[in-house]
Formats: sequence, structure tokens, C-alpha cells
Amino acid sequence: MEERRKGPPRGLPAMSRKETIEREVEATLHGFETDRRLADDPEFYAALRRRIRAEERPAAPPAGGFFRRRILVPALLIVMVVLNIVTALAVTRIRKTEIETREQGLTALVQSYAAEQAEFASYLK
Amino acid sequence: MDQNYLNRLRSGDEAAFRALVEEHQNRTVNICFRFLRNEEDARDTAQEVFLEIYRALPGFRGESELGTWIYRIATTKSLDALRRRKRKKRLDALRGTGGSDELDGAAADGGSDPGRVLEERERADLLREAVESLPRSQRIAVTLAKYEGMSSAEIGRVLGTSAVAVDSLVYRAQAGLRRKLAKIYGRRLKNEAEVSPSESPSGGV
Repeated sequence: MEERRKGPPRGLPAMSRKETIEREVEATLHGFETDRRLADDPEFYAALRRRIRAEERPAAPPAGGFFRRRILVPALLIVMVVLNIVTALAVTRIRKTEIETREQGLTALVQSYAAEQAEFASYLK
Repeated sequence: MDQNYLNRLRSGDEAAFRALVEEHQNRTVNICFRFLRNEEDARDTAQEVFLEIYRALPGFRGESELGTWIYRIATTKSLDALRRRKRKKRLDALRGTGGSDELDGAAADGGSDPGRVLEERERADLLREAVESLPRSQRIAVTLAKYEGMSSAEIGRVLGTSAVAVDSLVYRAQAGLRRKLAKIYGRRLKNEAEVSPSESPSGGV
């Protein structure tokens, strides 16, 4: 058992090392008693009162409140509605044009196919 | 508790509130300081404590003592502030802005000997780090008992537990601190011995 025990670092006998550690630990724990305390701040209550008053003061209305509430917000809403309508109309018109173009293309294709059929039939005769 | 005083506090009597703040200000600030280790943060957090007390006073039913209530809020707010500070520090580290801890020197004035002052500061830092590494309840118990000198019964009321449980927490905390510190000093001695073997008595040629 003795051989398995971890030996002291070079230069320090076992007891001395243990004692040194214990002494250091006790000195460090002594810090609980010697730790500095903060002194009273004479301005503490005045600062607290200022914070309380600032909290209790009703919040000032935002600058330009009337203009914002009565003009800007309704105007923005109207612009948004108008933009939505314009976008919806534009999309509908584009779709309609696309469908018409596709129909015209198909008609042309069918007509050219019919013409080719007729030409082919005349050759066979 | 004086019912008349309590009624004055509840009704928003400024003189009563001032008396309450003046009675508990020192301990509240110092409790915050024990956890935060920064004078400015401690005073700011203590103000938040009294601000919360002021808001909650009309609803205070007097089931616990005012002091207990104040110190409980101070402890909770300090630990919250500490958590926020640690989170900020981690974020700063991630961003590479390297936020510094800016902790105040905790050691008592060691006189005019700069070596001793440095040694005491180092010890105080080691103790603070060891206390910070303790589990939350042990840490609160040992901080209030050892730094603030509060009785087990008082701490029990703050923590919402019995005095016996607080004694056990403090005992376990101290044992944990001894273990941690012994490990640190043991490692330090070992390193010192390895660095300078020739300086030691048996470490000759």
C-alpha cells in the first residue's frame, strides 16, 4: 500500500507539503472575514427616488402623434389597398394575355397541321 | 412587525419607505456585491431590489419579515445579473470582442506592503472562484453565512428552508471549498517543485 501512494513532489517532505497546503487553504478561507465591505452611499436614496419618479411619470406622447395618427397611418393604409388592387388587376391582365397567346398559338398549330394533312392527301391521290 | 409601520409602507408613506431603505441598504448592497464582485453593478442591482420592493409593497401581506423578503430578492436579482453577465461574456468571446470581467479587488486593505496586498487579492480571487463553482444553494448559504454573518435561521428564511438544512449546506460548502483549494494549492506546489528542483533541499546535483 505504501508503494502505491503518490509520493510528494521532489524537494518537499510529505508532512511539510500537507501542512503547507493546509496553511494556504486556511489563509484563503480567512478571506471570508477580511473581505472588504461596501460603505453606505449617501446618494443611494436620492438616486432610488429619481428612478421611482422616472417610472411613475406617464410616458410622453410620441412626437408628431397627431400627424402620425390622423394623416400618415390612414394614407399608408390607402396606399397599401390601392397597391394591392393594382397588383391584382395587373396579374389578372397578364394571365389573360398569356391564355390568349397560348390559344392563338394552338390555333395556328392546328391550322398548319390541317394544311399539311391536305397537302399530303393530295400527293397520295 | 409593527402594524402601523407596515400600513404606512403599504400606503406609500415616503418617510416610512426611506427608513426601510436606510435600515436595509447596507446589507442589501453588500449581498449584491458578494455575488457580483463589482461595486457599480452591486449598487445598481440593490436599487433594482428596492424598486421592486416599492412596487410590491402595497400587496405585501407581512407573512415574512421585511428584511428576509428584501434579502431574498437581492440574492435572486444578483444571481440573475451574474447569469446575464456570464452570457454576455460568452457572447463577447464568440464575437471576439473580449468583454472584460472588471471585477473589483475583493481583498481587504493589506496595509502598505504591495506584496501582501497582491497576495491577499490573489487569495480573495481564488476564494471567489471556488465559491462560484459551488452548487447554487450551497453558494448562497455560505455567502450569506460567511461573508454577511447571517444566522442559519435568517438564511433559512431567505432560502425557504430550515436552519438545520442551512447548517448542512454551509458544512458541505466549506468541505467542498477546502477540497477545491487543497487541489489548487497541491497542483501549484507540484508545479513549483518541478520548475525549480535545484532550489529544493533534496533536489541537488
